[in-house]
Amino acid sequence: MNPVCPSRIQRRLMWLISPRHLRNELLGDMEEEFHGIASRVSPAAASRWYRRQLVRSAGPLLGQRLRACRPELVTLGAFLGYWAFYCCELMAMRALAAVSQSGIDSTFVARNLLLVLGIEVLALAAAGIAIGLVVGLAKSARHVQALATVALTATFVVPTMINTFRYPDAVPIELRIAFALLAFPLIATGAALGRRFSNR
Amino acid sequence: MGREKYLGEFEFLVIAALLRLGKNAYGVSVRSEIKKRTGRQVSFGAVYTTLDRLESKSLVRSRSGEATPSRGGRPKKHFEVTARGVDAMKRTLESVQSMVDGIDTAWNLP
Repeated sequence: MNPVCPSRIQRRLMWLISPRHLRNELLGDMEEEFHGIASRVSPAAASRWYRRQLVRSAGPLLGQRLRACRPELVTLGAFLGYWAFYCCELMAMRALAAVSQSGIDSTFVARNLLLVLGIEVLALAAAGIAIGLVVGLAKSARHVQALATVALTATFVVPTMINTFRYPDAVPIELRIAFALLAFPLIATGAALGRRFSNR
Repeated sequence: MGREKYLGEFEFLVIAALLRLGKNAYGVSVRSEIKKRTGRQVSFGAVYTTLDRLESKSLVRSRSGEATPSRGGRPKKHFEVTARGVDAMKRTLESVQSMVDGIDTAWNLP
């Protein structure tokens, strides 16, 4: 690594998060400031400064890139992403059902069950954040956010309960019901966070 | 009166910095002017997204500047406040001033 230049990874990340029409000037400004700090203080301090700038600039720059996207495409992406997670979960449930029926190691089943539930939590929170972002960026009314949250919860709860009854051996039914009840607050919290982020 | 004619808090700081710096203001100088006068450490991302938003509202305009080796050969982008930007700044300042006027007594209450 050249000691008087920001690292290639840092520059590449900054390049990736910057909107195309601001990229050259923004990276040029950051490089100029980097050189100033490197000569006044030290190259290590300049590198730390660049890293902090990268982290602190990520929110506004990514927000602006999202605002430039078409909201319907972001929505479509969020729902496709959610359903991709859901299909993974379905396959995992089938595998777990097969494993538990064959009487194999219960620790293995429990560990994978936790993994499946963890993936679901991530999928729901991500979909909720996407709803909030889209609603915030499109400057839609709050009731649109509420409707989208309810719709997504329904698309989660109904098939989940169907899966639960189709594969009763995979996951204890009480756990599934408890998890289904958690879906709404999880999505709603994600949506609130996404909306707050989009308003920054 | 249109909502866009008032400035947000950070927009106000950025336009004030541009007015202080004159015609050759660019990202580095705007950021350092805000830091020098307010003590706020702002990110380049926040400065650029705000400048871009102000430009889309025609409150500032930009032009490309020179590229130097210390910038990795990348050009500068100089910003300048437009007449609409100055109007928006005055209007915002007046509204803040009228809200603050006479409030000193309330602050001094025990």
